[in-house]
Amino acid sequence: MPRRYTFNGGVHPPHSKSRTERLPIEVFPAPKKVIIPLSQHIGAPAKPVVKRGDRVLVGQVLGEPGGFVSSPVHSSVSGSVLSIGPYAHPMGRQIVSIEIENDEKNETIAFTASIKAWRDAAPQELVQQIQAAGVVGMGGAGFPTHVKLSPPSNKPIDILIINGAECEPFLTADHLLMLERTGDFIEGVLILKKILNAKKCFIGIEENKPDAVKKITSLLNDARLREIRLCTLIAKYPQGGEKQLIRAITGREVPSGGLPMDIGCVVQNVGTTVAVFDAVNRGIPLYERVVTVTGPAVGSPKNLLVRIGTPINFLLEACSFNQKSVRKIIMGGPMMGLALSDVNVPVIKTTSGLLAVDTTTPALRTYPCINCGHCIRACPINLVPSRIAKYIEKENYQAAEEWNVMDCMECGSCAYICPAKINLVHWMKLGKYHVQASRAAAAARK
Amino acid sequence: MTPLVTTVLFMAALGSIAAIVLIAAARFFAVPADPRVEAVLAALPGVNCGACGYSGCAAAAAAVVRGESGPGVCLIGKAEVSAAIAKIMQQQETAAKRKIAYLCCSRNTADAKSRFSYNGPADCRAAMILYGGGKTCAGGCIGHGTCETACPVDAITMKNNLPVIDPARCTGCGLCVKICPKNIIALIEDTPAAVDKKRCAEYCMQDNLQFEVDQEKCIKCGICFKNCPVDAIVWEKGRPAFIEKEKCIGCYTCMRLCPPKVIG
Repeated sequence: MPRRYTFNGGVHPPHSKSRTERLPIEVFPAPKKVIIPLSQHIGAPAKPVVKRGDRVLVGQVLGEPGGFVSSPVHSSVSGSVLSIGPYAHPMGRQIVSIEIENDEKNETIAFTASIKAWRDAAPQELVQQIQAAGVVGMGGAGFPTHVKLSPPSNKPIDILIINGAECEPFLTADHLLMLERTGDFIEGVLILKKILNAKKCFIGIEENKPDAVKKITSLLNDARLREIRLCTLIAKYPQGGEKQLIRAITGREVPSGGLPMDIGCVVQNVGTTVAVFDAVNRGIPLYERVVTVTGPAVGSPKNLLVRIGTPINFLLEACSFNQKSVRKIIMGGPMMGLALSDVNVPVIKTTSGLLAVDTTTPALRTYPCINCGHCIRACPINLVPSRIAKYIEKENYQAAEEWNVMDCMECGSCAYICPAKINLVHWMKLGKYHVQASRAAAAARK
Repeated sequence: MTPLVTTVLFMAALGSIAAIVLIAAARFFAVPADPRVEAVLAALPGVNCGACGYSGCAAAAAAVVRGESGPGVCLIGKAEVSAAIAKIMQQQETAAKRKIAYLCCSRNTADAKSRFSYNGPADCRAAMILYGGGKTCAGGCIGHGTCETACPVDAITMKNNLPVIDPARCTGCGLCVKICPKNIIALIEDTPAAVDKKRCAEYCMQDNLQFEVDQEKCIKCGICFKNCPVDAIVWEKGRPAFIEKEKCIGCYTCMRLCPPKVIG
């Protein structure tokens, strides 16, 4: 029996993936109007390079990167720019966005792969191509991929890990991508491996996706790709967390406050890998992505290939969403996703799923902490959530910082397991916000 | 000599040596203390609220005696305390300007329109990090009572999810002002005129507000233009004002200030 990899801690929420895991990816038609936020990634927002009234084509650059840790954004339809201004963003605030009216002609810019054969190209060229295509981490955080692929020279990378865990319940976007574009995916992995000059390369997939494991294994065997190894992971949340995946596969531990590159690892998501393949081999920028639309309040759940900037109410309508019974619409998975307050927000590069929860899911009441310690056992990074949350509630942000609240990745395992249903993650987020603010204030004083 | 006598003599000698040392220490290391500090401290209320800006009543008393502050140092003690301090310090009495906390939102969560229902921790600071609270109005009170918990003198009570501040109890310490994540509690002078001026949102009950200026009835005064917090209003002298929909945040400021009330 092959080795099953895992990490310490974590929880076992129901997978709930059966709704969409066998449905092929459908192409969602481009909507009449798209809203493309200039900030869909971590780092500086892009600077707009088009004006109101300009005609743009599919794949045309709308915003240039605003710095090194930034990424360009591209048009996902052809048509004219209606307006440039603040617009509701899925992350909550109003973000400067570009509104484009679709003229239904679907004219594209000439997609030319500037690199003919990536095997002979220099890594720098490939990274430039990836940056120009606006590829960012599509798992949820949206960290610009070219930054991850250009580690400083004092931090050599020896291990590349491809994250196919997709541990969030309900979501199947990465799963379907691995099944339908297996060849492209593997080639994307080889491109990443070449760029990083990594000695070892692993693909981590949770064992609840046996079809994907089988297909990739047979493809790797057929192509005699000995340098890529497939690791079957125990299906446990948050197996797809960057640090948990590294821990499970390599046994290495990312230091507190550090990055995977500090221990010679780089982790890339499946969607990102396929986007890298498209960018390098076909010259196609990141203007569409796979989104799983699912949940009890959705009549016909689907995996959709959606243009970036499509307002989410279009997607919900297409999936016979039941307006009456809906209780909450969550962007992302149920564990880490954010409940939306507005259905007019657009799909962005990091939107992996839309989850509509209905009234059968109760709103939970919070009870006082009984000090049972379940959250401590569940925390995959060995924090003490109950105590930190109490510190934050009592405004003792300094103590929360001493107890490493900044290492919390907001995976939600503690809040899921808590029998008193305390909103631990919400407190953590508040604490991180305050600690960050006080650190910024301290830096400003200096 | 019996052991008893030896012991008594020894203890007596030890006691006298200790007494001499203590007397010497008291003579040579004495710190001159102003008796007025003690007296002023006794006159102060002694609740250490910190509203005066000093860390507690003792620090305030010391500051008064040092001459850094006047008899009106105590905000909560009112005329009684300032008279007492003035008497001790033999100074002219100067009453402190009394300030009270004032909530600039008048609609509770049941009255005001909301964008979504929130069921996270019942704490305004936590609610604030999720889309800035549930009310449609940008300046609306979130209503979880974080100010009520913060108030040291129980001057704030939550009524229908809206804090009601008791002006008689409020000491003007400003703790609620500091803790409110929406910044909608202000310290104002306790005069009826000031109180009237600040009240926001007689309008947030109304439905179907378009935030448009009636172009015919506008008297072209420009008050809305000058007061708009987000510069959403276009106005030139002699022309009616116009609100840019994209920029408007629906704070009702222009409606409240418009003299002919033609914004709706």
